[in-house]
Order: sequence, then structure tokens, then C-alpha cells
Amino acid sequence: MNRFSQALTFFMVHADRADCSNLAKKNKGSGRNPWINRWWIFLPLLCVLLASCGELRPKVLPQMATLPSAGLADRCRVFFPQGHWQLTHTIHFQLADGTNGNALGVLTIAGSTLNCALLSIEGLTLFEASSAQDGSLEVLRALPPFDSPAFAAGLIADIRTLFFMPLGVASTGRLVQGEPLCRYTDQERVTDILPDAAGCFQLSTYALRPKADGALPVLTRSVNARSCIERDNSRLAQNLTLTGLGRAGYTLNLRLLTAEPLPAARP
Amino acid sequence: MNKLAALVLVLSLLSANSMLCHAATINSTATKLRSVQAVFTQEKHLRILARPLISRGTLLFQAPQSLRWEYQEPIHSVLLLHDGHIDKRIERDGSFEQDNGAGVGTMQIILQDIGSWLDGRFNDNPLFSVRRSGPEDLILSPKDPGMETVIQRIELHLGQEKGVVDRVTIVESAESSTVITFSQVVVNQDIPAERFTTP
Repeated sequence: MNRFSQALTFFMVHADRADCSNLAKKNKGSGRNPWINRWWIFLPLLCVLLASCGELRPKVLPQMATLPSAGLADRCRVFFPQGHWQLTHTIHFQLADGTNGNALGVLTIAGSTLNCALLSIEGLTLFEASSAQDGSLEVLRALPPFDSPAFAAGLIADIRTLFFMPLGVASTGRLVQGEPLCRYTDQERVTDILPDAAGCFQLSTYALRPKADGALPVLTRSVNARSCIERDNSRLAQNLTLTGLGRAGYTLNLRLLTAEPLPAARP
Repeated sequence: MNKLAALVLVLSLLSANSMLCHAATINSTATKLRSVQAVFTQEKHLRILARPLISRGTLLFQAPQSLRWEYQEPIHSVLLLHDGHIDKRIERDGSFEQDNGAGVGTMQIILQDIGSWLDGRFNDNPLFSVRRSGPEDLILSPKDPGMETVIQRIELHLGQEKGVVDRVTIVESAESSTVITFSQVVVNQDIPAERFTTP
């Protein structure tokens, strides 16, 4: 709870006590049901509840009961297109400040290498970049306001989250509630995939914090995938919602337009 | 993004009005143009694309300043210009919602130019200089060098029908271009006003 809501709750509780005693004196011997006029004594409780709901505590990595399963690992792997693909999506984005807009996204995948472009609805190329397997990034075109290195890095990170198998050591198991999941852990993050969520999958990435901190990894991105379709040994989501958490939060809604397997020579 | 989106809309308007301009200037015996209706196919070519990205839509124009530029695929969106008002809508989940991507200020400037384009004063365009590259081809080059980083040039190809442009190529770079091909062009048929006010 933040300081403002603490202060507000303190004020309400003490005001309540003071007014309760006055009210008791006022209603003493009057014969009226004092509770009729005392509904407001629940306001502090309501305030506390609202304050609790309004607070956005960072979500941390849930506990998992490890249960090795090659079949489960395969079920998680199938959501990420293998080989060479060209994917196009419509993208609706919404920023934390309410700003929103629409664009077209073009992505070609060749193994671990990707090429991507962001186009306006009218077809103007706003951003175009390539990212190789080693993580290097080459921006081929970037018009303002898409010309910052942070935007390029963030976009590539989002694309890799959505369309590439997570990096790191893989394990499988179940959450406390029993849902099966695959967990991938590398030096920077933990990625959880729930392969049975809503007929498609859910994915969450958690940023690792310094060991000395002792704190659990905190949620940084979540992906809800819906309406998966079978294409060339892959299960591709027709609708994807990626939510980036934190102060500069944002939401991307992607709708699959085309998914074409490409010959291995491209790109 | 707003300014860039507006720029593309400007180019779309240029394309649309190029048709009108050429009808007015080349076919001098033709009656004055009151309206144009056309279907268009837009191909986006990028180096990274194995196959071009295809968009389809329709164009309606009625003098003096009414325009409907509509994409049916892949995203259903409509730009409406009428009576000095500009409205851009995009369909999401079955209903149209306002798209904040259009730079309304820029559009108002363009609206003021539509009258001169209709009169065939093509060279009055403040954004592009025009030269003929062949009997049926024109090239529009940005007057502002800074704009060349966004658009290198626009190529207009005149069609068989006298005075009508049938293809516009917007060249962003050596490896990126947009080709808009017009077809089913109908001129001087009355268009109901609500087509320019209702998505």
C-alpha cells in the first residue's frame, strides 16, 4: 500500500472513532437504530479494500513442482514456428498513457535469425531491422519516433518472446494449481509457458534479480495466445496479446493475417 | 507516427488526385471532372518479403473536396474528407473506431490544395516537383531533401484510358516500394454525400 492510501486509511479510521463516540452520545436514548446513520463506519474498510485493489504489486515467479516430461516439452515447443517462415500481422498497440494506434507487422524467420518491418496501415515502412542468432541487431530503416535504440531493442525482444523458443535450461512440471508448464531459465530471465491455456498457450517472462536481493524473479511480460491453428508441424496463434509491465506499460494485440513457410534459402 | 501516417495519406491523396489532374490537363476536350470512383490494389515490396503484402480498397472523390479512401484488406479502414472535416476510422471487432494515426493538421493543408489539383495546376504542389520521364510516365520528386529519407520519389503511369493514371509507385528506397494499381475507374457519376461521411 502506498503512503497516500496509508495516510487516507489512518485518517478515516481515526475520524471514524471520533465520530462513533459522538454518534453514540447523540443517539443515546433516542430509540432510533443507530446503524441506520452509521453506514459510513464501513468507509475505512472500503477504503482499505479499494487501496489494496488499486495497488499493483509486481507478480513474482510462481512455484513449480518439477516433473520431467518430454511430451510436455514438445507441446511447448510446437507454438514457435520452426524453420523458415513469413508472418504478417495487424498490430494494435496501446500505451500506458492511453495512446494507441494500428500498424502492420511483417516478420521473416530463418532459424534463429529474424527480419522484421513495421508498416503504417497505408503501407509506409516505419521500421525495418534484422537480428541474427548471436543477438546482433541491424536497423535498416527507422523513421521518427521509431528511431531510438531502445525502441529497436524492445521490439526485437517482443518478437523473440512471441515467436522464438525461449533460451535457457528447460524444465517441465506443474504449478500449485496443477497446470502443466514448461520453464526456461537463462542468465537474465525465466520464461514460463502454459501449453494448455485456453486452447492455445500463455507465456510469462520474469526478470531475475540480484541473488543478494533474495527476491523472486518479477513478471515483465505476459502473452495470451488464442485460436491456435496447425501449420507445418507448428501451432500458430491467430491472436496474440502481449502486455509489457512496469511504468512504461503497453499492450500489443496481434492478429495473424498470413503465415507462409518459406524455402530454406530465404532470407 | 502521426505525421508519417499523415504523409502517407497525403501521398494517397496525391495518387487519387493525379487521376483527376491528368483527366483535366491531358484530355482538354473532356467535360470538367466532378467525381472519380476506382478500385485499387496495393502491393508492398520489401527486401525481407518473399511475396509482396497485398492491400485492396476503393477510392471515391467528388469535387470540390470530398474523398473516401478505404482499405478493405488486410485491415478495414476508412479515411473520410468532407466539408472540411477529416475522419479516419478503423474496424476492430466488428465496429469502427477512431484511428488517432492521422495528422489532421496536415490533412487540412492538403484539402486546400485539392482545388488547385482539380484545376490541373499540378506544379502548384508544394511538396513535389514533377517531370515527365516518358510519354506515359511522370515522376514526382520531393522538394524538401529531408523528405527523401522517407520517400525518394513517386512514379505515375498513365493508363490506356485517356487522362487517367492507372498505376502509382511510391519508392521509399532501392529495396522498398509501394505500387498502387487502379482499375474499374468511373468518372462523373454522382456519389451520395453519405459515402463521404459514414464509415
